[in-house]
Amino acid sequence: MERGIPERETAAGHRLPEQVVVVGFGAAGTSAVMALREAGFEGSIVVVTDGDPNPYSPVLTSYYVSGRIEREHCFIWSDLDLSTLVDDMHAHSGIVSIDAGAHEVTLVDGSRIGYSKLLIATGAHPVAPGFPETCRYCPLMLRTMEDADLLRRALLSPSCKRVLVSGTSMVGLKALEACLDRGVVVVLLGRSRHIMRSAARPLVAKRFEELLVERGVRLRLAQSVSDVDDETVSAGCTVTFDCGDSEHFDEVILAQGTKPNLGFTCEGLEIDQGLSVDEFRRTNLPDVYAAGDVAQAVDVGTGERRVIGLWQNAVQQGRCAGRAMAAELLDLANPLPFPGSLASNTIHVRDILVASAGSLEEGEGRSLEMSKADDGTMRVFVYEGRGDDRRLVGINILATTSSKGGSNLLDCEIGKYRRAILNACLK
Amino acid sequence: MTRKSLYFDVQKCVGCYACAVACMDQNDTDLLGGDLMFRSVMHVENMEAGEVRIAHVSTACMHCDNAECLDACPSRALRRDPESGAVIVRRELCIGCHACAMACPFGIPRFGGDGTIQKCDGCYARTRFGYAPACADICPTGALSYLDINEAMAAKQARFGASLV
Repeated sequence: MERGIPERETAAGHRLPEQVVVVGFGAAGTSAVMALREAGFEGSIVVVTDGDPNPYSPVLTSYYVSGRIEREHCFIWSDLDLSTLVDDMHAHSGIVSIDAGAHEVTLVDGSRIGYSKLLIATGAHPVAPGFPETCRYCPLMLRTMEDADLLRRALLSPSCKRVLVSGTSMVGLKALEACLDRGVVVVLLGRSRHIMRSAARPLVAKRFEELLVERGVRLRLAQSVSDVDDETVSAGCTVTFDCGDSEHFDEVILAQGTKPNLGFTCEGLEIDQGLSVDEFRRTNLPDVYAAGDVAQAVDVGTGERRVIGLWQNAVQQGRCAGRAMAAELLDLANPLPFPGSLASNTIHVRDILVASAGSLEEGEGRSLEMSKADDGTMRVFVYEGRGDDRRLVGINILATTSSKGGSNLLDCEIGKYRRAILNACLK
Repeated sequence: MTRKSLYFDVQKCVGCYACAVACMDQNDTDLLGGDLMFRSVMHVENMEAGEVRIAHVSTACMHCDNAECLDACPSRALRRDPESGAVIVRRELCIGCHACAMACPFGIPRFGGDGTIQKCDGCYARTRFGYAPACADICPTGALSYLDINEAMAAKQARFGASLV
């Protein structure tokens, strides 16, 4: 099926195309569609998504797996009836190519759709480095609702008693928490000496590790998988680590990072780690925008361009793209640019809360200040410069919600510190 | 209908805590049971021209127009009330991830004993029926008032104008 681009006639008699195609319907795609409509765009919006027409929040999947929330709770926009905002929904689909010159995308079924503006918000997919592809045992992951359904079913199985979680970033730790909630013995595997390599200073990570061990987690840090045997066991697999140890696990959960979903061709589109975008989420090609986990934009904390796979970032980037597209389509004044994101995380595992914002790396011209309160709350401040020029560039705090007031003290502080870092970076 | 908003005049505040008590009463806040106060009153001392100047500040959620907590919340437990414009909480949806606390520059979101967010909801249960929020309703000095936004701006501009002459 071939679709032409609907047109509208302006007061001056010019005919302008008026169709926006949004590829991907997660946080960024949804926010862009809402922003387009809020800005007054009444033209056609076409959504192409590999998922369901009713989008969900991937952040909630671990809570569903753990049994803390129901499945329907993950579909956070259910009450809004997003279908009223979209004219044409292509669910369980995707694009294979973009012809930027002809302003057209080709879908997996071969149909073509014209656009006046195109937003790529295809998100990212988990990667599984180090796990043998020839292995018959299929490791579990935690990204999509389908992943969550599989993982939940696996953890509910009476035969599932020991799980290996490979990966110590946010997703790995939330998967670990789900395992603890389900009463399963967990071994946490990480290649680095400490967990949360990019989101915690070593001292904070070390304390986090101690608290996890106190809560029954076994750690295998600075180790990796060297072999997986699924043939001599009736279920699960036996994992051999590079230190020579072998252990049997009923399930293995891989949480070793993600890569942007770029499974389409587009001549001339600049791709680095993701799709390079400017402060209005425009790629290097005319009328092609990108937002969310697929877009590589400025990290205002470091000034470098990188993909920041965070919920808030995806929402703000999607909204920025939606407003920017609407401004051009409706001849409105330029919206406020979105200068970039500041890497910031809160990770909550049981009663342990770790927050970080900005750049935590040491380096020339940088200094650290650390403190530990009687209740165990740890604070690490990272400064750059000296004397009057000294500015806060990073903060890392650990608190436990079980300590008296610990979490709420942290809650009072972290937003103020984040804003101070952001303001200093944007100066 | 014109939109109304809470307006705080620092020069009128005497730090009496009536606003905080009215807020606790309105929200059935059980401090001994682990609930948290939504409104706090601070006393600030500054040296000005060799003299100590004491000011009192009553704060709670600002219900920002561009509220970053709304963007940060991955479960839509935080929402904008379409009628009042207040940032309201659906605690049954909160997963206790503390992302809102990271996003808020004013240190407003706090978490109760059940791990879910507790914060001021702008008394939207009162304002939708035309009543002022409890804090503004009780304020004996008029430091906290619930005004049409244009009225509030006019009052602010009048004060600024007076400071120029």
